[in-house]
Amino acid sequence: MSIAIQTDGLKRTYGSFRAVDGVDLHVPAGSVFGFLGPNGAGKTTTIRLLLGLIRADHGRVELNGIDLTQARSAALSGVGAIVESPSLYPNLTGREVLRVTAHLLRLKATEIDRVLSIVDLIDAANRRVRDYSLGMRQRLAIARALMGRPKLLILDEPTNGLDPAGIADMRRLIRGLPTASGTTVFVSSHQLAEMQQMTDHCALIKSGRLVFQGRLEALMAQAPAEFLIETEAGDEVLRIARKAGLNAEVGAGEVIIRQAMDRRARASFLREIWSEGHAVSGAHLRETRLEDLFLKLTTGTEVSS
Amino acid sequence: MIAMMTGLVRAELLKLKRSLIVLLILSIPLMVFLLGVMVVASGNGPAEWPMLAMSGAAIWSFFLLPMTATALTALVAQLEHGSRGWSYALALPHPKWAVLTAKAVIVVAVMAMISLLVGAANIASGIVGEWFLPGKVLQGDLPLGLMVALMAKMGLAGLLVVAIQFVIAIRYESFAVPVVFGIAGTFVAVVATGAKQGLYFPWLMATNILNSDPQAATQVMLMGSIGGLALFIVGIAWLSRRDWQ
Repeated sequence: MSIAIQTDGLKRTYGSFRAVDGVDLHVPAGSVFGFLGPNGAGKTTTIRLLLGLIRADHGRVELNGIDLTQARSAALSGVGAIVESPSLYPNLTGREVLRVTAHLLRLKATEIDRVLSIVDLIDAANRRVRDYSLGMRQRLAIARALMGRPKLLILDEPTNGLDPAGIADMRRLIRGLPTASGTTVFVSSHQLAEMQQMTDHCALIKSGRLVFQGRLEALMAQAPAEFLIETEAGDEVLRIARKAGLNAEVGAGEVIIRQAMDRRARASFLREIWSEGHAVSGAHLRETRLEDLFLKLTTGTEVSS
Repeated sequence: MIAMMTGLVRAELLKLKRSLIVLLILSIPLMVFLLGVMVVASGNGPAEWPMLAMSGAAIWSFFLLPMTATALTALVAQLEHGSRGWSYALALPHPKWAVLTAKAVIVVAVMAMISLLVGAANIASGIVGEWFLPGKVLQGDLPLGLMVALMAKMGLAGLLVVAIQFVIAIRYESFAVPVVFGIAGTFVAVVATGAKQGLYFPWLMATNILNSDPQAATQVMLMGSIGGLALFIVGIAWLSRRDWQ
C-alpha cells in the first residue's frame, strides 16, 4: 500500500504551547482520510506544516513519497489544498479565479471547464465571486484545488459554515474523488458525525497528539453498537444476559447490552427472554457515534445519545 | 524559470482586474494635471516650461510618490490578506520568493507607469493651462526629455520607499499598518526637508533629485535604487522564510 502523506515525529510549539506534539501520520493513497479533532486540537497547524506554510521544530513530512524539506516544489506539485475558508478573489468571476490558477500552474484553459463541471459551477462561472453563496465559494475553492489533477487533496474544514444541503454536496464530491480520479483526500474537521459518513480512514488528534489512527471501522469496532431491550423485567433480563456471558446493564425501562452481537445472537437472546415468560415491548440497535467514541478516547467520558 | 515567472506575473495582473488599481493609476496623474492647469491658468505660475516640469516633479516626488507607493503596495498585499490567499499562493509548487517577486514586479511596473503618466499629465497641464491665458505662453521648448529624465531618476531614487512599503504591506495583515507607516514617513519628510541629513531619509530621496548639487542628486539616486533593490531582495528572502499563519 503506497502512502500519500507520511510524517515522522512532527512537532511545532508556540512559546510554551505545543500545538503539534510528535504527530506520525500515515495516510494511505486513494483513501478519504479524516483528520478529526476539536477546535484548537492542532489540525490547522498540522495542515500548515504539511504544506510548508510554517516550519516544524522537529520531524519530517513526505508527500507522495517526496520529502517536503528537501524538495518542496516537487513535493507540492501533486498537491491541491484549501486552508481554512478562503474568500478567493471577490472582484473576479469564478472562471477568472481558476484562470489565475491556470496561469500559476501553467495549465490549459480546458482544465478550467473540467474542474467547473466536477463541482457543478459551470452555470455560475461568469458571475463574480462576491455574489457567490458560501457553499459556492467552497465548491470553487475545491475546483481550484483540483486544477492540474493533484494526486493529493488537503482540505481544512471544507464543510465549515455550510448549510445541510451544502454539506451533503461536499460529502458527495469528496467521497467520489478517489474513485473518479484516484485522488487521495485528507480532510480535517471537527464535525465528527459528518466525517463518519465521508471518510474510510481517520486520525484523531487532541492537544497536538494523535489518539487514534487507522481504518474508520477499526475505530468504530472499539465501541460496538448497543442492543437495547425495552422491558419492565429489567433485573430478570439482566440475569439472563449475565448468564449468557453478555456485558449488560439496566437502564430506565430497558436493558442495554454493550457487546457486539450478530443478528442470530440477538434473536437467540430474545427467544431466551420470552421462553422465561418476560415481556419485551421493543428491541433495537443503537449505533455508536464517532462523537461518542472520540469523547471516550480523549476524555474517558461516555456520552449517551 | 522565465516561464514560471511569466505565469506568476500574469496571475498577479489578473488578480488586479476590477480592483481599485485603475482608479489609482488614473487619479494620481489627474491630480497633477488639474493642479498644473490651475497654477498655469492663474498667471502666477512658472513662466518657463522647465520650471513647470520641475514644480510638477517636486509635487510628485515629495508627496504623491510615497502616497502612491503606500496605496499600491497595500492594495496588492490586501488582495491576498483580504481573501486569505497567502495559504494558497505560498503552498503552490513554486518557491515562495518567486510568488513574492511577481508581486514586487507588478508594484514596480505600476509605479513606473504612474510616473510616466504623471510626467505626461504635467506637460499636458502646461498646454491646457496656456489656453486660459491668451497672449501669454510658457517660455522655451516642451521639456519632454527633462520630464522623462526627472521621472526616471525619481523612480530610481524612490525605489527604497517602494521597497519599504512593499515589505511592510506584505508582512502585516492589517491595511492600517502600511498606511500609517506611509503617512508617518511623508510627514517626517516635511520636517526633515531642511535638515542636512534629510538627504538620506528614504521619503526625501526622490525629491532630492531636484537638489541644486548634482553630486548629491546622483548620490540619492544611487542610494535609493541600490538600497531599494537590496531591500526587495532581503525583504523577499525574509518573508519567504517566515511562518505564514
